[in-house]
Amino acid sequence: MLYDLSHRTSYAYASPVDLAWHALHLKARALPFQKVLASEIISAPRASELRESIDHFGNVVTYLALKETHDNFIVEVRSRIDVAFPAIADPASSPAWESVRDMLWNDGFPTHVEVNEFVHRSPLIAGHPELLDYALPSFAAGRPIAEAAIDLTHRIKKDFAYDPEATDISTPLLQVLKLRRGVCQDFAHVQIGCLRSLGLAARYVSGYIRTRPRPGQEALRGADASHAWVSVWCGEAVGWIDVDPTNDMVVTDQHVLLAWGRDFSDVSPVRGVILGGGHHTFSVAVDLKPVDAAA
Amino acid sequence: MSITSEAKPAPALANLDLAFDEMVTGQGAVRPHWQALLSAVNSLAGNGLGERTENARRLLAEDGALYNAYADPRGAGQQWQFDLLPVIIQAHEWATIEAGLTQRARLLDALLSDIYGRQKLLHQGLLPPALIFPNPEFLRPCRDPDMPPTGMLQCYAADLVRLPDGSWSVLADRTQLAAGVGYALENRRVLARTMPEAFRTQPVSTLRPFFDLWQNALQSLAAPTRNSPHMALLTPGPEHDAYFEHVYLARALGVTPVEGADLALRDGRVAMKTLDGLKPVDVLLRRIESGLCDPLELDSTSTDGVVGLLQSVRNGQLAVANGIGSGVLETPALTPFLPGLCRALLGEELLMQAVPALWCGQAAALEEVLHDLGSFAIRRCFGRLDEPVFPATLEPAAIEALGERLRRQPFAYVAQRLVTPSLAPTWSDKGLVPHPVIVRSFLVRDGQDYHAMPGGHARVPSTHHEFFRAPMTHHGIGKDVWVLSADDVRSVNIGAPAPQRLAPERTGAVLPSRAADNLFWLGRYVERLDNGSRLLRAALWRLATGTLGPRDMAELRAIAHALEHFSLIDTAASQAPPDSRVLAQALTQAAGPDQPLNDTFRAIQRLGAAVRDRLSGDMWQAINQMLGETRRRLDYGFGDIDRLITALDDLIRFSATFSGLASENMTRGPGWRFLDIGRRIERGVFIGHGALGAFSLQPVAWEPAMRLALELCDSTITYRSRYLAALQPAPVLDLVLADESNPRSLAFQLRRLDEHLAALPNRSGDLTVLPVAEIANDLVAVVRLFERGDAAKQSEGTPLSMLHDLLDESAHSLRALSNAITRAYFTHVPAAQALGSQRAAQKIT
Repeated sequence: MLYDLSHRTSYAYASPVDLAWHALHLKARALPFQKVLASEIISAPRASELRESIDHFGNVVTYLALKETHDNFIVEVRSRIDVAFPAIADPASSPAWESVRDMLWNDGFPTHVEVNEFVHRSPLIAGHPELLDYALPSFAAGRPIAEAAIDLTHRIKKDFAYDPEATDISTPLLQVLKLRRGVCQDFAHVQIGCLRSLGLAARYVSGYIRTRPRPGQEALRGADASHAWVSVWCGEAVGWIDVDPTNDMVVTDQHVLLAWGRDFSDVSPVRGVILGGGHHTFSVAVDLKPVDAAA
Repeated sequence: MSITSEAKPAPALANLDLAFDEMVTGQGAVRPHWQALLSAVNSLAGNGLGERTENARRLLAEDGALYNAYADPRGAGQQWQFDLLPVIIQAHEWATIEAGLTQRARLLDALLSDIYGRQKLLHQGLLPPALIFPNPEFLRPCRDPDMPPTGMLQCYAADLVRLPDGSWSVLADRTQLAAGVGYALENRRVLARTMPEAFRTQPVSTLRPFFDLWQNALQSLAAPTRNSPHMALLTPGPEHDAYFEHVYLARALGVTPVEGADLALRDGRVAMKTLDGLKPVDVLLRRIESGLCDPLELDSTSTDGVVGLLQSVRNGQLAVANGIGSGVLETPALTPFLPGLCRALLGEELLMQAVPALWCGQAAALEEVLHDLGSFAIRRCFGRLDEPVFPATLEPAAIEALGERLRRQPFAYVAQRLVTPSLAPTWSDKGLVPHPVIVRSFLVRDGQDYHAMPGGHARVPSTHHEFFRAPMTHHGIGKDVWVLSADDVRSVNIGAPAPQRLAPERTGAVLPSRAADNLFWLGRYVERLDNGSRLLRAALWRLATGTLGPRDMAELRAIAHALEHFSLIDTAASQAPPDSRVLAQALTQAAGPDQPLNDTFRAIQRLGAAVRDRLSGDMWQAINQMLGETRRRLDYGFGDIDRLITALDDLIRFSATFSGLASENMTRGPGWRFLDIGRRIERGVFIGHGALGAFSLQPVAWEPAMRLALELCDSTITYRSRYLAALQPAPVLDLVLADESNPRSLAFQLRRLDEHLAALPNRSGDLTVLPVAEIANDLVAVVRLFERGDAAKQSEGTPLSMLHDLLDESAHSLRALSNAITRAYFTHVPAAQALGSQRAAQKIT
């Protein structure tokens, strides 16, 4: 699927900002199933220094320094991306979840070191017995891991209400679990926390979802801004599969992947340090639309 | 309901009967290497060790090493005690320790390079990923696949204990900052001054060469293109508990102490803001935790670091010691893996043993721990401040719960075996008492290899629990550590390269903008304290005489007016009848807690600490000792007029001492100028609105106003010797306003300011706000008017109204000058804030 993406973030400051530095996770990473055909970042004011690098997780990070005094900061990324998540094999044929867990543990010396990184607690996802309690009904003994993970995705969609007013990033995971409300980021964190409480590897994926629905279909949640979902490791043969607890779906060709990390804090799309500025307001506009093959 | 029992004493965790005694053999004989020291101690005159201990305590307090008075303005911060008896290590023992620690430092350094580099050890199954990935000190932005194989660990400290068999073991590795090294140097200095005879008994290795080596090592970190690299020590500032050590270390290493706010990024380089603009920094010795170094890439809430620091390191523009992220190795859970890692990385057997530890993340280790819980201290793998648990001290139910926790999250815990530390003699009123000791050793890398400081910092923990608690270096009881040298050469053979040949310089080191800022305000506050004390004392003197005559009443009214002008008492008090209780009460409370005068004290102590490295030792003493004591006396004498007056006398004396020291002991560089500028501005404002305040009361009570002006300007005697006559307006005003030879006159302040401004780099051309010549002429002119005219007339155009205008104008100009100086020289950076740490700013749906 070929997409044109634009993602624009605007900040308005109450008092002038003398100097600002921003670290952006806005350029999509290239993957075997995702080609980034074009990608550019434009900002106002223009960056006096701009640098791009690859972070520890392999994501693209863009650093901007803004040296002219400004009251507004607008940053926009425009990309053309060709993506098709690999179809996943029959979930019922994936290995039993315990066998994956044992491989990831292996008495302290796991065989898949890179995967092991996503087993542990992370800044926004601490371990709580409540997460394990919530996860267990989906993880009966011997159940194939992909099937269990998809079932968990389904239950989160069913049990949690989509409510942007209920939480913000400072709402602790446990609170979200109690409230049973939140947004895509909360649902992703809940599912990751559940999977890790079982000793499984799960990562936080930041990206986008198609803005306009297919004809005759309902609009998808999370289309007007950045989106987030979960990747879970299902053993060597199956690898990582991506599930979206906000929409109860396995990720196929309606998502575009930007970056991944342990949780939101690793891949925050726009972070920065500004001098001055006072109180600020912001707005975000995202458009992800398929490129008409005929055009 | 059970009755709450009294706090139980902590059960002994180790059988001290088994402990190795540093001084006495199993047969009760004094070990040979202790005999010389003991006989020196026994032949001390007088009260012996008691008196010397008191001397040492006083020296440490004078240096500000005992506690951080600025972190806690009341000085109630935790004080540690210094014990004069060192821990003595013999030459051959030291050789073994040194070899073991040097190897260990090499190993840890190689380990860091791998963890932040290619992470081969994780893939080879030599290092469990569970000790790295969830470790909060593993800082992902510091990963670099091209990491050089050595050099991240520049300084390293190890906590050592001696086991009952006499061998030394590593209790903990300190790879983040190797804190405590400054205390080791300070302890040695103090001990050498209080008990010099003890050092004559045997060859004690000196510490200085270690710091010379370190200084050279820091210099060699700079890019080879830098001829004379600029080195700085990054400290969180005076509020930090260990600020004393930071400044002390900076002095010992000849580097500039800086705070995050002193640094800025320019063209990808970290630079220090100075009076002469931005000066690039080449080498940074950090005394802040890794995570705080760069708010853009690391902890976004940090105000101790500087944005872009990490990038500047990546560019090769800045070297940081230790490398950022070095704290990842401080977990004791690494202990069981070090022997294997040593073979893999160095091809050697690990020489020095460590206190046995088991990482519960492995099934066999977990079983071993659960089987014998009582002989371990259990702690989380990460988080230095986490309190260890001692199962031996727990009730059965608590042990059960602990076992449960361990089984649920085994990988999160490490068990350290309880050991029996050695005992060293410690002086107390009862004589020498054996106490357990931990010795912290320090090593530094010179580019090739590590070198151990032949000495250290020993601590006597107050409980056995503290052994396993990562105690702060400056809590409990501290001791010097003596390493005896094999031959009688009292230094170490670490081949320190010859120091650079220095060319004489007159200009002095660069003055950071913040230091200039602090000195300026220190000058202003010392003068403000002086002025406030003089006003208060003048009022209290009059009150103390008992019955108030009409003259006293008039003078008191004038003083109260001035006190109100400087916010030392409130309006209600200043307008109350001078003989009322309201005024008396306000006056006796004006120096009390939470009053403006007290804020001035606090500001002086804080600023003094912040610029301590720019003041002479005696100036620092004046602030630390004189002011500190007076302050305590003020609190004590609170509400009592006579005691208050005595305390105010002391304050005025402090101010005089401080100024005298400043004028005799500071080189006439920009630092001294800013201190004096602050002082002159404050005094100029005071003369106009404080000393001459009575001239603006309606109607003017001439006699009291003149007497007060002379009294507050300390000019009464001069007046008497000049005029031998009754007070008259023209000569009084001439003396306190226009006479440039009187250091308490307004004209004198203006003239001095003019000289200072001419000598400073005039950066913005914005400093012409003080029309000195003009005001000086006007002052003379006004005095002439009084000489001729009828002073009592108070209509427009009279001498009095011109005096008012002139005083207002000069005060206004002085304030404008203060602002102009602030704009031109002190970089006041608006507060930084982090964006993107809230979802609000992200809108993720």
